[in-house]
Amino acid sequence: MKRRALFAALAAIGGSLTRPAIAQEDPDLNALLDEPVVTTASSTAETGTTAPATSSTITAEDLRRYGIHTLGEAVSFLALGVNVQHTLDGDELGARGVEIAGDTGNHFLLLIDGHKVNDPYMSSDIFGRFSGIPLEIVDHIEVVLGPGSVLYGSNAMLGVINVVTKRGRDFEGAHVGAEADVATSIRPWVGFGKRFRLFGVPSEVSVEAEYFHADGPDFYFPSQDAGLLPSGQVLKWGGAVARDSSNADAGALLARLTSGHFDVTLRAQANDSPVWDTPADFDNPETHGVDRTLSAGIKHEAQLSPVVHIYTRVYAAHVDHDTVFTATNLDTCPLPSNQTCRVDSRSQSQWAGVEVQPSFDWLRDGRFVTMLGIDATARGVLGKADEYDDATGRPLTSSADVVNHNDLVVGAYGQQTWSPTKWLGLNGGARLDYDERFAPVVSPRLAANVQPWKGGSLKGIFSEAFRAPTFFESYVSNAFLPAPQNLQPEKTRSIEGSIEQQFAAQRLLFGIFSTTMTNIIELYDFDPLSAAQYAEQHSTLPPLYQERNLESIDSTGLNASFQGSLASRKLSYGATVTAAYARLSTTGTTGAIPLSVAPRAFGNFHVSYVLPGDLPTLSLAANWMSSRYIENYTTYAGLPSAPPVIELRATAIGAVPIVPGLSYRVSANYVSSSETPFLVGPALDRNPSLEPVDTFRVTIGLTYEFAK
Amino acid sequence: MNQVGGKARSLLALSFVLAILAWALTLVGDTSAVPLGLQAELTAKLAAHDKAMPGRAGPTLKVAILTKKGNAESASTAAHLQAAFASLDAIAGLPHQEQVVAFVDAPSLAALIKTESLAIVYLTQGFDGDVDAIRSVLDGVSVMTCATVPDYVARGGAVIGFDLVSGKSKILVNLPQAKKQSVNLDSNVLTIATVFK
Repeated sequence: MKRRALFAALAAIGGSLTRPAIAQEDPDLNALLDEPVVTTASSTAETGTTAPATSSTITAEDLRRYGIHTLGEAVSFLALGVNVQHTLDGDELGARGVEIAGDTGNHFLLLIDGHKVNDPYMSSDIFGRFSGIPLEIVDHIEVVLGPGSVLYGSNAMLGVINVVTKRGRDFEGAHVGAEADVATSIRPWVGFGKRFRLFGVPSEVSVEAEYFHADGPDFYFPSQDAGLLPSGQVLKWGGAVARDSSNADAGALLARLTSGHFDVTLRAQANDSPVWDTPADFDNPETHGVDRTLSAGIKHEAQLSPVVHIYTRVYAAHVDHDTVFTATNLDTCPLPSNQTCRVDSRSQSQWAGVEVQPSFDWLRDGRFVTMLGIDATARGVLGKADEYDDATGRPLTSSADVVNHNDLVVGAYGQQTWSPTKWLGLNGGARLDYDERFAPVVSPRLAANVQPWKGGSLKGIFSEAFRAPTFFESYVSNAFLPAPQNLQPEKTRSIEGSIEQQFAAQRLLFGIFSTTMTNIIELYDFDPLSAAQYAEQHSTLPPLYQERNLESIDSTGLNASFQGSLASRKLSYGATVTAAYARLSTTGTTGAIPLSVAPRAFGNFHVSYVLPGDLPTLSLAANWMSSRYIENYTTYAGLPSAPPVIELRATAIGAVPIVPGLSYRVSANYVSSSETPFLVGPALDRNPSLEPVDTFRVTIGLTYEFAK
Repeated sequence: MNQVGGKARSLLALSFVLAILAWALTLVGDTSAVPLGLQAELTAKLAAHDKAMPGRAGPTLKVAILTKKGNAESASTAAHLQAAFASLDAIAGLPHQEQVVAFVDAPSLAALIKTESLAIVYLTQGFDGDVDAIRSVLDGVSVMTCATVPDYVARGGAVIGFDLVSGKSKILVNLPQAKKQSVNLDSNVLTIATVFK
């Protein structure tokens, strides 16, 4: 029976590939329809070919077809130039040979419908499974590589990722679904989209809510030394399966309302998940983190005259984090060293602002446009940490790590575009960001694109960007972590060039880049001598750490992509590759060394085929990375590294026969290596343990669409 | 823990004032986000797939871009489209002329199409109240009508339009209206378009 079905499928593939209708296709028309339209690079709708950046567009169909569950997976499997590594605390993103361990993607700016998601207090997982962005309502994801502060300000160091949600007409009707990773998680969701008239104005609404519960996978962690107890006994960490290693509950709601020229996005999410980036005891069920977000953004566009267009955006957001962990032998715990402290660290970030962006189309034909903008954001951040005796619940000290700070950050920018001929486009701009913590930062960009022959495009881009220190980095201090002195924003500067050629529905891109990042903020680890000197100079206890602008990175490399389709787009495929020579320099040391955790080469490929009739659409997606030095690899003998890894995902989607409106998605995921380059546990015995990953899982989902 | 800074409150209040002011400037319409240059290129390609186009156009293909009086968005779109069409070497293999025309009413439009032998008429924004009349008056008039507003195609006010779905352009075709206006598109175009029946 299986063999007969296989033959039928193969015959269907062969028949549709050789059907005479293919000869009637207009390759130029298909090429125009396949041309991605991006808005993120210059805040204007334009084709990807002419945009002043290297970008990838991931469509809703891609997300469904390739079995994608998270933003991190989407960019990892389908975008150019971005590598993603899954850790127990969330997804780590890098680009073009650069990855900063532990930043959970905070060197990327994440936007939802153009509104910023990164919160000012500290970085948190905004790309992984608990980030609270339901994907069924996502229309497409624009991934813009390279510095993007010219329009967006802080965080756009390695790139900008803009998640664009569906309008009501693209999500019309009621939808319900559920998806489960077999034996470990389940995610039910509901969605709704509708077109209507609001006060006579054409309007649309789309909304999706999801709940995610994970109860595994449960990983085994090798035993590590976690210090000595007064009895002389060695305290152990690990040596068992952690029952709480991946357990989580998360809920999210994402909604969009468009009415006339207004566009409103609302988002709410909450998750309760385990935390691993703390000095916690092993597998204590009390150790967990709760993140909550509530945000709203309103955009409005008006054409005041044939020359003047004005775009206005108002936004507000609230994000809070609460991390609780228990630890024995914690440095800061005032109890005897065989007793356990419980630490509760809370923070709230709130921000609200307005952005006004007039543009002037001087020639009234879009060839010479001046855009100006001002973006003002008021922010308030509260944070503190409390320690308790875990046995009695008694508070042990007054609150530490207290942050209570309000400020106003303002960005003013301008952008000039000029297309003197049909084959030449120029884009120049700069943004000035004011933040009371450091001198104003200027982020310029100059870009040119030339279409010298049919289907060909050349691009050259120079751009700079910055990342302001988080409030945690700027303001958190205690006896062991003195406040930083004159902490400066991280900066990056990039030069890149690319050539793109389109052959009907096939596109080939090759680019080179050179990126320099400076002032990278890291925790300075005091040695006994420097700690004593610091204590003497500042009349304090000898500190352990301090946030400092310690490092700089140079990365030079190439990237390439190929994508296309055949057989009336039934067969789609694509591949990307990025290779970089990246070196890190640390203040106070000589010489440059390879970066930890960042792959020197990585890429992805995908292929899918739409079988005819009721047969499924089959797809295979993969992402791969070269070997990566483990986190802090220079402190271990032999400079250990994690092996090369490939992640493969096969997916089938289709309609369930007999039941109109019901469809399925089944995927199997395999990872070739069970270890990441990220450290886990105290590792005081200098024998590093690496964070594990789930090497195989099967996911099954059903979706039902009610009749419209 | 739940206090918001005074500056934040002030800025939020200012934001709402600005939003209300902006509301007053709202111009009704739901414009396609497909860039106008791309819309012009797509229109030119689709014109080549209209089997009736050579007979309709004659030696020079004429394009009229309609504007709605007093609508700045319509005027801006029309100017952009005119420049975009002008930059094309040929439309359906023919030399072409494009002009911006101020819309008066539907019967005048029908008369203009006949007297000027217009092959393509492009509706910009602001025709929400005129779409039904335009659909009726063009029944039996051979012309390819296009619209920058997707809803006009769904309502039959235009035969062809474009929408942006998942960051890529999608062709919209109103098939009944196409037949009424003698627009005869290749079947392979219809297979890749969203067709309103």
